[in-house]
Amino acid sequence: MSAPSAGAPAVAPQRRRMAAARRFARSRSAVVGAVGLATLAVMALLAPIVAPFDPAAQGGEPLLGPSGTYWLGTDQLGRDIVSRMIHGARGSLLVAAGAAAVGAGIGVPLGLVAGYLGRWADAVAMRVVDLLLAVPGILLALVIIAVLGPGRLNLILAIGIGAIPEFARLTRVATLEVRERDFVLAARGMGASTPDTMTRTVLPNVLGPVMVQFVITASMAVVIEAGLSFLGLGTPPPAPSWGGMLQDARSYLYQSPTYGLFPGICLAATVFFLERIGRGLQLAVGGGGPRAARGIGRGAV
Amino acid sequence: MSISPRQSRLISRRALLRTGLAVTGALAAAPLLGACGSGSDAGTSGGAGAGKLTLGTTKIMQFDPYLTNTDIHIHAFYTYLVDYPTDGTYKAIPAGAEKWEFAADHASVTLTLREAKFHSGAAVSAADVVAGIKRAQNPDTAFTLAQPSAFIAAATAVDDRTVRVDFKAPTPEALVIDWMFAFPLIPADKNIPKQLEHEPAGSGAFRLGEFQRNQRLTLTKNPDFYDAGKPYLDEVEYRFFTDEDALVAALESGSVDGAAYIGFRHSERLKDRFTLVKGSGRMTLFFMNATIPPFDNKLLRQALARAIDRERIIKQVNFGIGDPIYTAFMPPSPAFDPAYLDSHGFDLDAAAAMLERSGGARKATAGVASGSPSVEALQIIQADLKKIGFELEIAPQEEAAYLEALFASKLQCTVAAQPNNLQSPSLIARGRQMLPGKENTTFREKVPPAYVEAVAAAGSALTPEDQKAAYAALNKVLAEESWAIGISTQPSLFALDQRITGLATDPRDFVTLINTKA
Repeated sequence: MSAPSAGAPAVAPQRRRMAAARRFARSRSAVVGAVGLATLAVMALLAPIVAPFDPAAQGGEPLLGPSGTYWLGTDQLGRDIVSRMIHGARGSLLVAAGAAAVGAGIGVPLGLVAGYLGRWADAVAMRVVDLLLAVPGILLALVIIAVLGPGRLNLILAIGIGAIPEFARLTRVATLEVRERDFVLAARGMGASTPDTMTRTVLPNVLGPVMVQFVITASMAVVIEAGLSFLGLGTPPPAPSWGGMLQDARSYLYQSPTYGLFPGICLAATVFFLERIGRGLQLAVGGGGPRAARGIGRGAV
Repeated sequence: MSISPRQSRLISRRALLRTGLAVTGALAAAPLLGACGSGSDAGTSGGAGAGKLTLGTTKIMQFDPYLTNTDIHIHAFYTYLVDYPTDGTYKAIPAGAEKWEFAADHASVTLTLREAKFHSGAAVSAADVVAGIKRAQNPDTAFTLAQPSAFIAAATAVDDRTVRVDFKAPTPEALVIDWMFAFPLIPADKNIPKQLEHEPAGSGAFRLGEFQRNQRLTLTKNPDFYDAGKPYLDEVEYRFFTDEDALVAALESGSVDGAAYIGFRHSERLKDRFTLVKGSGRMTLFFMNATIPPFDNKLLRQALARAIDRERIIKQVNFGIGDPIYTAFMPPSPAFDPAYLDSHGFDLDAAAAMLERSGGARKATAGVASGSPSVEALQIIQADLKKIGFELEIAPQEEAAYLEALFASKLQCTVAAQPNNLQSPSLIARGRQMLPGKENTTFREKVPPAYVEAVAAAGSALTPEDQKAAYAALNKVLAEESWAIGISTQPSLFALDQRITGLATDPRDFVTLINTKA
């Protein structure tokens, strides 16, 4: 038997990536999600330029309806709702991406080590994961916020820590499957060290499902962030957040019925876009048809 | 028109559903109609036995009157030595004490107790009052009453129904009457904090029927209440809600007759369908912790005090309800001085100049209970402070964590409520942030001596002239030290079914149900 060529594993992932990208692009709903999310992200990035007013400026009369000056009206302190929604997108997307990154940043190495090394490393890592799984995500986030105090960074940590188990378990399962594949055995046979094999050979081949999980986690983080802000434990005032706006709007439903409508739409749209992307990615990396992708993202929605 | 078999099935299901709903409605309406009948009967019979009232509340219940001065409904179980009218005035009405007589030198008062019975059936006696005073003077077992009882030197039972209370020094009558208003009658053998925590033991208009913590509390009419014929209601049930919106929804759906202590935000929505009752309420103040920089700088505190836009806070946070205040005295208080609202009121230019002169750091963090109206008040203050170059961060916390930090003196500043100081300005020193000793959570051991002296003077001034001077001096030191800046009064709000009459609050903001009819 001839040894596999050194270039083979490098070429295969590249081809797979191209094929996955083509499959993603063929999914119309995934493209809708990607375009929608990109629009939101651009809006969030350019918030200081795009937003007509300073989101904290209490310049208008309180609870004005939509008008030429204030397109969606003003809130209870006379702040422009459009500007607060645009700046709120920043917070929501930042927390979503940050929390998913924290979850993946800790969960993926944990799952990789557990799946690849097995035995005691697997047992220890999985017990840690079990411990985290024993506490509901929102409760864990509430406790962490209570200890660390409110703030965007603490929100990211609180939600991200709750997302570690999913990443760890997913990566472990994928690693268990990949570690017995020929190209991994070949890499080991060629003398690659364990850390090298794990990071350069196994990891790139488990990233597909991790990417899907990343998107699902991000959509859940948007919802949890809004929930914590709704409870007053999210982004501290006067920084806007969609959840915080919904909470404020609840108090003025009678005086300004449209106030809570727009942050609610933004929140729903963001989760919808992320869910579409998640389904598209599942389709792309899994290679299955739309039917296979249907189960993805339901938890988040 | 022909009907398909499928349509036929649908129709029969609809008919079934309709019948089911009608039966359910009839079953639900029967007791409701019965209850209405009971209410109207009561109305025609002059109020005797006027039925049952169900009130919803989000407040936590606590039965020990020595340990709370907040809006928790303990009042109905107890008789106090005197009552005040619910119109906001301070004309003492005999209650547990039938009469009282001050010594000519204002060094003692002799109380004659009314012939009355506790809920247990035992007679109210002078020994119970003496035991109560002993407990009241211990801050560890009677936080609420310790400071108002501080003027008392000794209490003696002259006979079964007569008590002589000796003062440490000549004391103004108003302060003694305020103390009598706050002093509950409790049998000596049951005046134990651990016992009262679970089971009230008074001689008030209502007895404890049933109590399921966090679910419901039932009060039943006390047939032995001293005021014959009262209360009018046979039973009052409090139902506990964890969420104010759920409480208001329960009111709108008719599952409770009234919603107690609700936020102003509901007033607009409920005003046309329910009777809105404004209680005497409390005050909101902006507190700055003088033990933590930058608020250890008096000039900086004075500067920030000028940056509080009371009118806007009342309009936008309180929905226009309440009056502006400067020092911690509400309008009926003899120490309330509206002139401070002009001389020390909102003026950002003056605030900026003083801030510049203070040379203090320009950043602080305000602690606040998340979801409370104080968050919005702080945002208004924050926006104004930003205009003069002071950065105020707001850190909302879960309520229990916030209170713990507040009482442990760990917050730099906050907006918090204070109870009404009644007709004795020296009672300002009841609050934890206002205590005259090292327990003061905003000064600790550095309580300004001028404040301690001013409180003592206000609590000992006997003539109207001396009182006027003492109250002016107290206001002056409060304005000078500027750690507790009044924002506004904050009346409590009740929304009641329009059939309910006679529900009010006393000057402490406790619900008074004695004259309530439903």
